Amino acid sequence: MRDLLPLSIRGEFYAKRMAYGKFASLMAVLAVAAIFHFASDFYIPFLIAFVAGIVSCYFIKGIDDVEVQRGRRDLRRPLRDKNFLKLTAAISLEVCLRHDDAVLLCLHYNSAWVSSMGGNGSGSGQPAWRNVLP
Amino acid sequence: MFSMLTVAIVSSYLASVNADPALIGLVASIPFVSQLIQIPFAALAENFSRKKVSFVASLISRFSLLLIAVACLVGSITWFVVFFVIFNVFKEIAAVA
Repeated sequence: MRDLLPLSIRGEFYAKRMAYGKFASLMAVLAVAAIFHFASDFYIPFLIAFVAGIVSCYFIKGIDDVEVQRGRRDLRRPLRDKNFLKLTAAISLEVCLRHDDAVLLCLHYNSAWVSSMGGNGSGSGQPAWRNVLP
Repeated sequence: MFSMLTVAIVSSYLASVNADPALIGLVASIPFVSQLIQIPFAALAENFSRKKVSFVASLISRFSLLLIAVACLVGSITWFVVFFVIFNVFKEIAAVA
C-alpha cells in the first residue's frame, strides 16, 4: 500500500482510511451484534466475515502490482526516525489499552519487578532478590 | 470485521462449548503470536509478486473463515482451532506482502 501512494498524499490517505475504517467497523460490530442477538448461532459472524473477505479480495485483485524493492537494507534506519518511533509508541499504547488483559499483564510484571527490586516493604534496604541469594 | 472475530466471539464460542480454559487462553493468543510469521514472509515476499502473495494469502484466510463457520455448525473444537490458526497466519502473510 505504501508503495502505491505518492508521498504528498500518503499521510492524508492513511488518516482518512483509519477514520472511515473505524466508523465502518463500529457500524459492522453493531449490525453483527444485532444479528447475533436475534439468531445466536456462532457460525453467522464467520459467514458474514467470509462474505466481507471475498469482497475485499475482489478489490485486492484490482490493485496494481508494484515493483519489489530488492537488496539489503539497514533495518536500524527506521529506529533513527523520530516520527516512526512516536507512531510505534502510540500504536503500542493503543493496543495495550484496547486489550485490558495486556495492561493487567504489564501491571503484574511491573509489580513483580518492583517487589523483586526491594519494593516489598522488607525494610532491609536491599533488593528482595538478594534475600533469596546465599 | 475480521479483528472483531479474534478474541470476543471466539472465546465466547469456546466457552459455550465448554472448552478447557487453557485452550481458550491459547486460542485467544493466536492472533498475536501469528504476527511472528511476518518476519520470514517479509523476506520471502520480496522474491515473488507482492500482489500475488497478498491475494493468495487473503483468499486462503477468507476461505478458512467459511470452514470455521462449518466447524461451528458441526461442533468440532479441533477443526475450529485448526482453521482459526490458518486464518490468522495467512491474514498476517497477506498483511506483510
